[in-house]
Amino acid sequence: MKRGAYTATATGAAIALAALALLVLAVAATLRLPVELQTGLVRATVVLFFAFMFLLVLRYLSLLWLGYLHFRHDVREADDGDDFTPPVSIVVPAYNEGRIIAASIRSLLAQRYPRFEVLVVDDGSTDDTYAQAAAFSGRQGGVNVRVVSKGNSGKAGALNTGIALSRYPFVLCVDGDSRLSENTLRRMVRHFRDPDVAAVAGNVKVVNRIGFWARLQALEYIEGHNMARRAQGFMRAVNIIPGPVGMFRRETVQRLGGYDTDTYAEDADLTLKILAAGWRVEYEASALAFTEAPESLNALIKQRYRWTRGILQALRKQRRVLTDPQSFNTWLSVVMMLFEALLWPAMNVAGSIFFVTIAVAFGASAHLLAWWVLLTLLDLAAALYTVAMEGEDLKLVPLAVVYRFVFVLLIDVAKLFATVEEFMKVEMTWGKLERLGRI
Amino acid sequence: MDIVQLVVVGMVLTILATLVLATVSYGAFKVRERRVPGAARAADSTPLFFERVRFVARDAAGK
Repeated sequence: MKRGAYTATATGAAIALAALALLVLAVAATLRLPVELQTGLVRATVVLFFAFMFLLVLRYLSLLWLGYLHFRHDVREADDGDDFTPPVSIVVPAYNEGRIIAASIRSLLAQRYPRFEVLVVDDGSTDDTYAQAAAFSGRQGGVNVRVVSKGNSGKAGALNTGIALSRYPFVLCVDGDSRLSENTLRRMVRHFRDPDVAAVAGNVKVVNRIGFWARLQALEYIEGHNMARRAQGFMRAVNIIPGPVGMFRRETVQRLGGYDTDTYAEDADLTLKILAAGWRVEYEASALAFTEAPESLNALIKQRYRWTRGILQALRKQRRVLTDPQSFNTWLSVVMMLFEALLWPAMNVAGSIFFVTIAVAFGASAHLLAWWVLLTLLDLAAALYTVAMEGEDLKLVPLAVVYRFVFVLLIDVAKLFATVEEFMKVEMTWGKLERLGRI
Repeated sequence: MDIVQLVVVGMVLTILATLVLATVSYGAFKVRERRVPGAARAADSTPLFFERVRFVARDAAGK
């Protein structure tokens, strides 16, 4: 099947599934509770959850629609900006990335872009990262590669060092394990024609689609992160420039003081700082960065724990954006961040426990079934639609059946624990993920 | 037992198993984090040279 027909078929199927989900919601709203449960409190709780589900349906449909508009906008501007090619510095912070740093640098050197430099900052690695990177030092096919080594100060410190040493007005910050598509620089830099744009977020994809958890994360990056970012991009409300691929106007980052070292999500923190200062952040879906996802459950929990606490730290620091936003879009981007970090995980876990409890204890199984069918249909619709839109592997779509009630529930429990610890100010460490050398 | 009840039983078991798995995994993560040797913890959290490259005063931060 040709790409266009494939996308149209998938879109039609997704719309049908979403319509079915609305039907399920309508039927579920007419369900009666067992007599023993017809108390005011239980009724109020059920109404609360169904109201939340209605909001969730609206959120899904809005994201899909806004994502589609962003996609159409992208298609129309596919060839825009070819003549705008200012020089760019690529900054690669690396701490114990010896297994993959060479492959990462090779992918950067393969960029189809007239003028750029690569700057690797070895952040006091205890393995052979510096030696591996230093082998590329000097001119590599017209690209200048510099490798510097410094004492360990964390990723934010390494990025700040790289930005301070960069020579060009635009800086692409990547992770030590990022592998970029060949046109990433060209696709991202075109957004800086607009003088109000200070940063551009790229599209992160999972490279190691091996095993249950990594495959579910591959789906999550497409259906969850990137679809939300597309919608945010269209609304001009992008709230996180991902660590694996983000481009910045260097002067702006410098004026804002660079990356702060007091949160565990330096990317979210810097994004909020940029938004708070009144700048715009764009999303470029065709700027791809492939990154390693955790393959074990322990590594996955560790990563999400750090992300959640880091995002909450960044939100707390930049809370004035909520009360005194520069624009509606800025306010909206922070509200969405709060929703994803705090409200939705709590509602998802509470809803699952509540519906299981009334099903097991009082036989109100229809409510649980409605909760599951509704969310699964929405996830299937979103997965089908987003996988088709990004030309991704269709085999990821069936995973949507277990996505919500295994993967998301598990992550949400970890987020809740992390949230409690953050509010209790429990001590934490960076907890760097072990690279598996899959790129 | 009809098909709906079977599906509901499957869902209940899946949700409960996931909640238990999540809690146990989180507990295991915290236990492993506590076992990280003191020196490694220090290296992970304490910068040796500097915390931040300061570019300019924050007052000049806006557009």
